[in-house]
Amino acid sequence: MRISILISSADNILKVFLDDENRTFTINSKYIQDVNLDEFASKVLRIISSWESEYKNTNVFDAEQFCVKVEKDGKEYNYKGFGSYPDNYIYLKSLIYGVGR
Amino acid sequence: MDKFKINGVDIFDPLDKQTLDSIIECFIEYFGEEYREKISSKLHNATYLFLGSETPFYSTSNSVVDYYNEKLNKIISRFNIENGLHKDLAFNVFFDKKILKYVSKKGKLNKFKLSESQSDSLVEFIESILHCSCEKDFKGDKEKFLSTILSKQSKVISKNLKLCLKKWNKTCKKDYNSIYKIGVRTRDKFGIVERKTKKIVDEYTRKENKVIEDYIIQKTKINPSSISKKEMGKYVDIFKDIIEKPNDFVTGYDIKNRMELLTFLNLDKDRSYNECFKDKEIIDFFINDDISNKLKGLRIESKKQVLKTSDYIKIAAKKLKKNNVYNDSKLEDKIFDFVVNNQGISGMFETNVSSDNKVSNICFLRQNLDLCVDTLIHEMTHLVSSNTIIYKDSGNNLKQYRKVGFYEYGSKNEYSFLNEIINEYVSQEICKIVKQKNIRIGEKKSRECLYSKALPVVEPFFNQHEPEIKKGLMSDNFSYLQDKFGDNMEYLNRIIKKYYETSDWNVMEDATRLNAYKSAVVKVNERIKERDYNRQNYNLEDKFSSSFKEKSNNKDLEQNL
Repeated sequence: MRISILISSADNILKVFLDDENRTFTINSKYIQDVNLDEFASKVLRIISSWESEYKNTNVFDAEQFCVKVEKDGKEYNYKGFGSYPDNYIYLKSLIYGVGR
Repeated sequence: MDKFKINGVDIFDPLDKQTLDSIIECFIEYFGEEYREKISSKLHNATYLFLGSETPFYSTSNSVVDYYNEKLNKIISRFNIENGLHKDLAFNVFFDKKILKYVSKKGKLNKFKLSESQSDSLVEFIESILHCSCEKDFKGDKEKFLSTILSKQSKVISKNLKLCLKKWNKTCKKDYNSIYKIGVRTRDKFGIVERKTKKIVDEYTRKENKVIEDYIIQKTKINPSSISKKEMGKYVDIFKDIIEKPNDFVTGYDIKNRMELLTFLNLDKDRSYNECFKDKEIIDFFINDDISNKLKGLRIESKKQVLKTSDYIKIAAKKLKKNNVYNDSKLEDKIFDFVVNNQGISGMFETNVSSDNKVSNICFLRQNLDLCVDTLIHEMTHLVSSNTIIYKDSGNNLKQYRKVGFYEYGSKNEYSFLNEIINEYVSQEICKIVKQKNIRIGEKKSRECLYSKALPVVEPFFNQHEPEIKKGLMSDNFSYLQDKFGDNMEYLNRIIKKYYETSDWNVMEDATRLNAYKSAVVKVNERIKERDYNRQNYNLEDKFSSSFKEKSNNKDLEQNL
C-alpha cells in the first residue's frame, strides 16, 4: 500500500509519502522514524473513508489545496480539494503535524 | 464583545481608516491616478476579516505567547549587548542560584551537576567576560573548559555574575516584569476563549464514545467496572474504525485489532477474520443504523455548537453583519475552515455573490499578531483587480461575469497559477511603497510565500511588461494579457507551473536549473516581440508566412518544455 498526501498553499507545502511494503515514511522528504507506520496508515484511511473524490470552491483565491492518493491492493483512490474541505479535514492535518513535529 | 487589544491595537480589527487610506494611496501611486476612483471604491467597500485560530496544533494564544516572548528577548538582547555579553545569552545565567553556587565552589559540587542549558549559558557568559573560546581553546570540551577556568578565575566570574544581576535589577527588571505580567494576563484571556471551543469538541467526542460504550455494554452485558477506561477506549476506537471504514481500506493492522475486539465480545468463536465478517450476527452487531445516525447527529451538533460558541467566529460574524454582508452557511463554513480547520494559510480572497445578487468582496486574513503586511497587500491586489458584473442575457436570465486579475470564474482558463505569480509580483512592488511610507499594520515581519519563489524566473519578463500587466489588472476584461500575448501566455504559465512543481523548497535553488527556466521565459519574450512586429507589419502577403512561422516556433517551444 502507498499513501501520498500533498497539502499546499501560498505559505506552505507539506508532502507526505508512506509505503508500507518498503517501510518508508517521509514528510517533506525527511525520513520519519519512531512512528507506528501501520497505525498512521490505518488512521489516514479511516479519516478519508467518508470523503468525496473532489471538494472545490473556485470562488476563492489563495486557499489551501490538498491531494490524497492511495494505492492499495491494485486499486487507486484519489481525493482532492481547493477552498472547500471535508468536515474531518482537521484530523488529517493534526495527524500529520503530530508526527512531523 | 470585549476588544482584544494588544499594544493598543485590536488584533481582530487592526485596519483603521487612516491606515486603509494610506494603503489606498500606495495602490494609486503604483497603478496611476486614473484608477483613483476604482481603487478607492474597491478597497473601501471590501470586508476585511482578521481571524483568530483555534486548531488543535496552533492557536491565537500561541501567537500571543510568541509575541510577548519576542518582546522579552529584545530586552535581554539589549542588556547583553550593552554589557558586552553574548547577544543570545540566556538572562537566567545570573539569576540562577545554582550556577552562582557552582561557580563559587569552583565547579566542585558533588550534590548536583549543571544541566546542559545551564552549562551552555555559563560557558557563553565566561567567554563573553574573559574573551576566551571554549571551541578554540578546549576543542569544545565544555567540562574541561569550566573546570580549568573556574579553578583559576571563579572569584572574577562570580563577581561579574553578581554585578550583572545588580545592573539588571537596576535597569531592566521593572520593564521585563511588567511585560511578562501583561503577557501572562493576555495569554490567559485568549486561553479562556479558546478553551470554550475545545470544551465543546471534547464534550462531543466523549458523547460519541459513550454511545458506542453503552451499546457494547448493553449487547454484551459485561460489567463496566470489570474493564479499565483505557481498554474500553481502545475497543470503542476499533468499533468506530469498523463502522467508518469501507472493506477496501481495511489493513492487516486493522484486522489484528478487530480480531482482538471480537474476542473481547466473544464473537470470534475461533474463526478467521473473513469468516467472522461473513457472519450475519457480527455484521448486524456493527452495521447499526441507530448508532450511525446518533454519531452523525452528534458531529453535526458539535460543529453547530462551535459556530455558536467560538468568539473568533462570532467576531467575524459581527463584522459581516456590520458591513451588510449576508452570512450564509457557505460563508460560515469558510470562516469555520479558516479558524478551526486550516492552519496553513495566511490569507484568502473571495467575491461572494448572495442569493439576491449582492456582491461582496472579502479578504480573509490572520489576526494582527500573525498578519504580515505583504499578505494583506497580496489579497488587496486580488481585490482591486477583480470585477463582478451581473447582467441579463437575451433570454432575460440573470448571468454573472466575474474576473480576478487574468482569471475568469467558471471558464476553462488555466492561468490561475500565472495569475497568482503576477499578483504576487505586483503586490511586492506595492509593498515597497507601503514600507517606504512606513505604514504599519501586522506584527509579522516576513512571510514564507511560495509564489514569490517562482518570481526569479519571470521577474525580468514582468519588469519589461509591467505597463501591460498594470492595465490588464485594472481592465474589466480578464483576457487583456492573453489578447496581447496570444498563446505565449499558455507557455509562460506552463514554464512557471513546471518550475514551481519541480522545485524542492527545502534546498537552495540550483543555478543551472534556474537559468534553464529563465532562458525558456526569454524565448517566450522573443516570440512576443516577434508577434508584435508581425502584427505591426501585417499585410495579406505576409499573413500566411507569419502564421506559419509562429506555428513552427510553437513546436520548438513545446519541445523545450
